Amino acid sequence: MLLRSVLHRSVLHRSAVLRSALLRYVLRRLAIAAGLLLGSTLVGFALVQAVPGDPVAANLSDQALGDPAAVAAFRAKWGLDRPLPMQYLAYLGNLLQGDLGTSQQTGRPVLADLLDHVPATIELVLPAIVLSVVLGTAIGMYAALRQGRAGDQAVRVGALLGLSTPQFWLSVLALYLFFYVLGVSPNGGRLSPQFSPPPRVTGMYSLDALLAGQLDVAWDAVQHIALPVLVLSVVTTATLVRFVRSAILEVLRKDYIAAAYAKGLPARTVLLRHLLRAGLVQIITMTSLAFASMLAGTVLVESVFSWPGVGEYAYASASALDRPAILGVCLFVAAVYIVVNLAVDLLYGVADPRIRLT
Amino acid sequence: MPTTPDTSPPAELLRVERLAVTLRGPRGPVPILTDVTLSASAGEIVGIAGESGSGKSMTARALLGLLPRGAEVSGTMLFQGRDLSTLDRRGRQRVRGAGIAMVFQDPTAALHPMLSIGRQLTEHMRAHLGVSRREAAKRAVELLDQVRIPNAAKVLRAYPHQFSGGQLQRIAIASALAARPRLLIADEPTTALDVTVQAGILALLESLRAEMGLGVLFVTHDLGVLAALASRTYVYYAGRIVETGPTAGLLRAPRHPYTRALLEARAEDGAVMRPIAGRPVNAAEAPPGCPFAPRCPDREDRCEKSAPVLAYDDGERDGRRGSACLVHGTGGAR
Repeated sequence: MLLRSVLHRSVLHRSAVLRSALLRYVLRRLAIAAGLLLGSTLVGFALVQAVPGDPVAANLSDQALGDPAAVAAFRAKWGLDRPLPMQYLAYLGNLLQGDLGTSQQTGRPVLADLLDHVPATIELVLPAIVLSVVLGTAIGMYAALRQGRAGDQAVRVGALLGLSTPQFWLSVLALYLFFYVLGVSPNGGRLSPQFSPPPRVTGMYSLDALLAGQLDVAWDAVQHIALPVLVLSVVTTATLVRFVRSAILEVLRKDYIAAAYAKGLPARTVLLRHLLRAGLVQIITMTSLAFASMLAGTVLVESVFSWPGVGEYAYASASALDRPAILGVCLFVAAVYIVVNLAVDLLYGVADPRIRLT
Repeated sequence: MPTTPDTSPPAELLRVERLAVTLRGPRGPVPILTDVTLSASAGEIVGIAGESGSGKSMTARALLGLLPRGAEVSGTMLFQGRDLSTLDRRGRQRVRGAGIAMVFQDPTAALHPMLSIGRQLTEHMRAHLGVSRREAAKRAVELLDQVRIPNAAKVLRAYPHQFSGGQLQRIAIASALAARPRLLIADEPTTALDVTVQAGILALLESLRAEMGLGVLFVTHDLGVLAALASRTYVYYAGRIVETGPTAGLLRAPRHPYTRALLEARAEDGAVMRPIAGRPVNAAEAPPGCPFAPRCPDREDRCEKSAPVLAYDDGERDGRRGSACLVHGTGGAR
């Protein structure tokens, strides 16, 4: 019987076989990820070389630049005197040993710099993405259910405004309003001067302070996080509102939603179980895209809020043509993208039973 | 079996009187249904036939209280003696599913693709009947057996994409029956299915009628399907009923030119198919006078001036022939 065989296979898939198939899938994706990372180093390396400008000029003082010996010493120290392919191969060789090179600016290993800056960025991006998804989904659904009415119009205008507001301007405006005028927010940075960072566990001050039981430090850290998170969330929320609204509008026309109402289910059940579930795959896709754009947004927001995160590090390294640091940031961003994409593909399989990962 | 007080002797489930529905359009109200009067009893399959846009599906939506926002409803819809339009939101919600249930045209679209069959069979059962999860699952298995889906226990854990259209329609019927409704509205339930599968679904509906005393409103564009199925039939055109009566007589000797044209448009047994000239109009586009007049072969001048009303033989309604035609009116008027 066809039905029986189909069911048999599906039931098997959802139990023991599923787990090993999933493991194989993840392993294969990770192998691909390694190739992607290698590719991104090549692209990153080539792009850094293609940028006009001379790291020697960017890093040495005018006086040192006048001294041929100093210039030669600098070039020899950073391997700039070797042919490009050799430079790249040397970089790869070090990379395989976990050595991302040394930053020309800070003089510290790039890896150590990243480990300092990445948690600061995560501390902004994680709350911001959660806030955006919750708000974006709720507001987008509200607008879809009120299509064409005043509430919907207001949401659409608001979303357009949010989308078209430049983030750096919004950051400055938010600082002006909440710090200068209202005085309810601190003026950038991760902690107020009277506090010292909590003992490092995750590198995220708010979390580490909680773990160390330093409630006052945690509260201070949260206050510092609030404003940049808010600014980062505006664009992402607006993007999600628009996508969720159109996704939900599409689902609303489906027979199975009419069928859910016809079954006499309470409206809340229809909305949360039937409507939201049907839009979930699309919402996951949009969230991953929004996450990518948010990462880009951190560059501007972090510099305005003097937030020592990856964005700020990327900005500083790019200004100084600090090649090892730039490549390190490239690698980090590539890794984030790869992880997010893998997570999204795995979530698809959870959200939609029709999707089978192979 | 708990005894429910019968209000009228033949266990009349549904009585719709002079139902009219208008929707809000960009240029004022748009009539969708005009003066619809129909009834259905327990253990009876009643056919509703008409072309798309004739208001068949809107009748179903009006009964369920699922009309689009801004719809205006007048007339009465009595279900088990209660006027549906007087019920509040909770009351309507209780009638949906537990009183009147619906089966949709395309079963692949009417079941949620991401929710398990078990969830879709039991969620409203639990809301309406207040049964436990375990009891609901047990009843779901019984329902699947009843609609002749094998391996019921496994089916509950499966998802819609794992089944064929015919199987899905059986599952959809099981889901519609889950909260023990008395009236089932089947909106073209076989149109999207293969011909061979159609017969099985029709037989299933007939057996549910006979075994459970279920009342069925069978909506279709195909008069032929009704021949073996429906005891009585209503023919819709442009948002109103143009002819009604016991199905056998109606099909054998149709009175309204539209009914006749519909039957002739079905090519059967090598007969020449005669399509109806012109195109169907909906209630909003209907001309003054008889809405079918522009396409009618028997049209007379008066047809374009005054609108015919549905008149019944002997002035009685139930079970009688009736037609809304000035030319081929009721008994002896021809």
